[in-house]
Formats: sequence, structure tokens, C-alpha cells
Amino acid sequence: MEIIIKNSSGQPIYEQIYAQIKDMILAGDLSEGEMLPSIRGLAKDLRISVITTKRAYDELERAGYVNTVGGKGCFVAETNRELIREEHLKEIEIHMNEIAKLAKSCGLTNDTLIEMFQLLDLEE
Amino acid sequence: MNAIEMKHVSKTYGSFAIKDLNLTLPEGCILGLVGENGAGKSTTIGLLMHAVLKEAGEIKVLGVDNTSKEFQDVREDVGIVLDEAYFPEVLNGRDVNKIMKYTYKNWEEETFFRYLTQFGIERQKMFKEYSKGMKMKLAIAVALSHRARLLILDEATSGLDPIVRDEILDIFNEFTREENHSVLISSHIVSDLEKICDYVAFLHQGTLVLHEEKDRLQETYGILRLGRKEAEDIPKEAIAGVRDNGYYKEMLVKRRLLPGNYTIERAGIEEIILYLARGEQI
Amino acid sequence: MRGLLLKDWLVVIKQTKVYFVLMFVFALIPGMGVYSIFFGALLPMTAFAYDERSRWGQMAEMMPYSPRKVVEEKYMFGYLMAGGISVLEAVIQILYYLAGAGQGGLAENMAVILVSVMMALNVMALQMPVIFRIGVEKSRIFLMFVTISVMMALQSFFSRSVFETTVVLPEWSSFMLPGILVVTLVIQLLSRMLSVKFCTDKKK
Repeated sequence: MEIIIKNSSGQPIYEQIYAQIKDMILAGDLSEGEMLPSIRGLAKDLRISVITTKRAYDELERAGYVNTVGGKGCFVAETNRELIREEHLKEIEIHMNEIAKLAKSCGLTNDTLIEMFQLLDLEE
Repeated sequence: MNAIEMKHVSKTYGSFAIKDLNLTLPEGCILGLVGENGAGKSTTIGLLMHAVLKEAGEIKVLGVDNTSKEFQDVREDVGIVLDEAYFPEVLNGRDVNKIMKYTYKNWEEETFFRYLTQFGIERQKMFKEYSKGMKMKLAIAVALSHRARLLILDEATSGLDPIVRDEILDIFNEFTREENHSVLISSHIVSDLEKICDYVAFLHQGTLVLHEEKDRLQETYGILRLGRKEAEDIPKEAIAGVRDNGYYKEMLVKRRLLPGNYTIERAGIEEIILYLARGEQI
Repeated sequence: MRGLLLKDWLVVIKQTKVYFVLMFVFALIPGMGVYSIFFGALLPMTAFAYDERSRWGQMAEMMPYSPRKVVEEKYMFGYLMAGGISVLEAVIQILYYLAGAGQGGLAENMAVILVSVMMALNVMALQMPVIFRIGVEKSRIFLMFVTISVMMALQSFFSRSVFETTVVLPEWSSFMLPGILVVTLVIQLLSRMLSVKFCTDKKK
């Protein structure tokens, strides 16, 4: 398992942990039922605050990616295809928004955009 | 449970006074107590351990009121390292072991000697031949060898070279791997503490100016540098502190209150504290 | 308390080896035994001085020692040191006597040792509260003055001059001994109470 904390990025540390673990789960690098490192262990290994680590885990649990079993630890939750699909759709939407913004700033019409996308598809 | 709990604590020494001090350290966490020399850090630690008597307020250490009889037992569970206060200097590591064996019920000889070896301290060497760093290390070895649940360290890293300091901070980091282990560490140098703390408290002239989760501070605040004209567009409520160097304005800003599209830089804990401390005076 | 006693013993034995040799030599010289007993009762001051130099007290008050224990240990250390020397002195006197080299009666000499140790401990009792109040550095001159004057007084009381080796015990001394014992006990208790009070007051 690989988690990289970047102090230079403006992103809060708990978000960095949250995002990286979430990505690993979505990508299947962490499989269902797998145990996550303990909050304290991870915090001490990464030399970051225990509270921050706990916050990341709490967020993961709230979002349904992990389950905490009292006294035992934190486990990757049952993979929910629907959830992953939703997650991906959300991400696509974010990217599309970016594209729309950029397109607007250089005056591209929707038709041109669609054309571009189809060309992209053909190349693949 | 809180490892340390101070509520409305006051203490006056002539012109110096600790005023209405509220300080908590949740179990399992590391609290960095920062403040300039003479801000009241050592007094606060004295108050905690009942070595200095408070005038008002309530103090609990490891859940026990420090004026109660049971507090004598709590002292067994607290490891102490003080600045410039050591064992009599004609003693050596071996002597200290013997003395501590009769001092702490839970004294662990093996642990102590293991730390001495790890720290590169010869058992036979007299204390007065130690460097400052070694004296600190011996005190730390003692503090870690009687199964303490709380470490209280007053300026334990000051005057140490960076490598030794890092080594020692690592030990404190490891110490808190246990869920019921907590650390209170004071220093006048913020960067010494920044690395390992969960919470930061800033003491200024006997008053606690700041007591916050470290990462929250950095999430809340950031540094923004703008030309003087541009700076006028920033909403007042978003600015926590300003420094004008004649060429541009450097501001400590609250990230949330700032409209997007500004490049906010990450602020160091030291910068945040400096800005906030000065803000108090304005 | 054992930890603290051990600390003081280690500090004193390491730092004042010459002092110990001197005490032994004095104990051997007839009529000078009083001095070595006084030296013994002075050893807590030496321990105090080392504590002070390393600011040990600041650490001790955060360790599992109550002010009462800290105070009692210093007295106990004095009792052990002065007591130890007195026993040594008594043994030497008995040996002298058995060898036929004893000067004066054995009973008289024993009485002198007993009175000396009590007086030495009373001097210590006088000094202790002062030290707990203002520290050993600041009270050094006072300590020296008290010790030396009481020592001289005793010596001239028991012998005709300070360096006279023959001990002459006043006739009433056998009658006085229990009285001195009671007075000593009272002084010790009062002194300890005062020291504990000063030690606790320091925290305020």
C-alpha cells in the first residue's frame, strides 16, 4: 500500500489520505474485506497527526468505502458497483465542466467539441 | 479521557501572572506548548505536577485532581524531563539506575540500559562529563523507563543539534503508538514541535493565545501575497494578519472566507502563530 | 526514601573521599572524635549543595516524592552519617580501652560520644530549616558559624582546653544525659516540622 503525503499541495492532509485510499479501493488495489492499517499505526508511520488520520478514516466510513469493526480495525467495505459507477460519473462530470469552461473561453461550439471527441474515439 | 485538563487556572508571581488558563490534552495525543522565554511554560508545567500551587481553577492529570491524595500515585505514571535540571553531576548512568529503582515502582532496568545503549551513553561516565544533549538523553531515558503514560518535557529539545533532536522526536512519536500514551512538550522554537504535534498551544505573557489542532490551523489559514492595490479587494474578515514590506503585502488569510482564484500558499505553524500573536496586540 | 538516601550516599562518597579519610583519622585521635561526629552531621549539607548545583530539587518535586519525604530523607541521612561515625568512634574507644591505651574512663568516653552526637544533630536541626528556606548557597556562612561555635563550645566544655586530650566529664552529666536526650528529641521534631512547612511554602 502506498500513501504519499505532499506538504506542498494545498490539499489538507486528511483529504490526501482520503482520496488516495478511496482511489485504491475504486481501482481494486484494495480488495473487499482487506484490513487497513490502524489509525495510530498509519499516523505514526507517516509522522502525521492521529486526529487527521482519524478524520480521513471517518470520512471513508461515512462515504461507505470502509467499515470499522469495533476493537478489530477498519476493513474495506463490500464493493458496491453502483457506488463506483456513481463515483466515476461524478468525476466525468467534473472533467466535462472543465472542458466546457475552457471551450467557452476560446469560443468552441458544442458541435466542434463533439467532433473532437469522436475523433479521439476513432484514434483509439 | 483527557491526559491533561486545566480549567480556569490562575497564578501570580509579582508582576507575572498566568491568567485563566484552559488547557486540555486528549489521551493518545501530543500537545506542543509554545511560547517565548518567560511566557509561563515552566510555571504551567509546575502547576500541572503540583510543584507550583495554583491560586484558582482545577487541574487534572491522567484523570486525577492534582490536589488529591491519589495524585501521589499519578506521579509514578508521569515521565518528566526538565530544562537544565538534572541528576547530581557526580553520578553516572549506573547510579541513576539504582536510585530510580527505589523511586519508581514500575522501574524497568532493562529498558533503561537499552535506551542508554541506543543513545550512546556509557554507563560508567560521570554526568558532569556529559554534553547538554547527553544530559537530556539521560533524563529522557529515565522518563521512558518507568512505564509512564504521560511524558512532560520542558524545553527537552532546546540546545540540541538537529540530528539528535530528530532522533528524540522520533522516540516521542513512537511512544504515542500506544493509545493511552500522551505527550506534553514545550519549546520556544515552534519548528521543533511542528513535526510531531497533534495539538499546538501558544502561551504569550501568561495567557493562552491559541489552542488548536495543528492540521486544522493549516487548513484554516494560508499565506497570500498581493500588491498593495490588489490587497484592497480582500474582504476584511478574511484577513487574520498583515505584513507590509513596502513592495507587497503578505497576509495570513482564512481560506474559507476568501473568494476563489487566489493562489494561497501553505503557512507554516510558526508563521501562523507569529501572525496571530501580533494580531492580538494590535 | 531509599532512592533519595542512596543518591545522597553516592554523591557524598564519590565527592568527598578525602573528607571520609579525614573523619576516620580524627576518630582515631583521642579527644578529636567530637570533630568527626560533627563532620558526619554536616554531610547532608554537602548533599544539599550538589542537589542545588544540578537543580535536582525541581525534578524531585515532580517525581513520586512528597515534600515530607524529601525533608525526612535529609534528616535520616544526617542521622545515619553522624550515627555511623559515632558507632565507629565508640568501637575505636573500646579497642583503645581493651589495649590498655584508653584515656579516661570508658563510660565517660561513651557519654561524651553520646552527648556529641546529640549536639551535632541539634546543630543540624538548627541548619536544616534555614537551608530548606533559603538554600545552601545563601546560608553557607550561617552554617559554618553555627557549626564551628558549637563544636568549640563542646570541646572546651569536656576538656580544659580545645586541644586537651583528656576528657573530664562534669559530675552532673550522668544526671543530665536523659534530659539532653529529651531536649534533642524535641528539637529534632520541631526542626522537621519547620522544614516541612518551608518546603511546602516554597511551592506557593
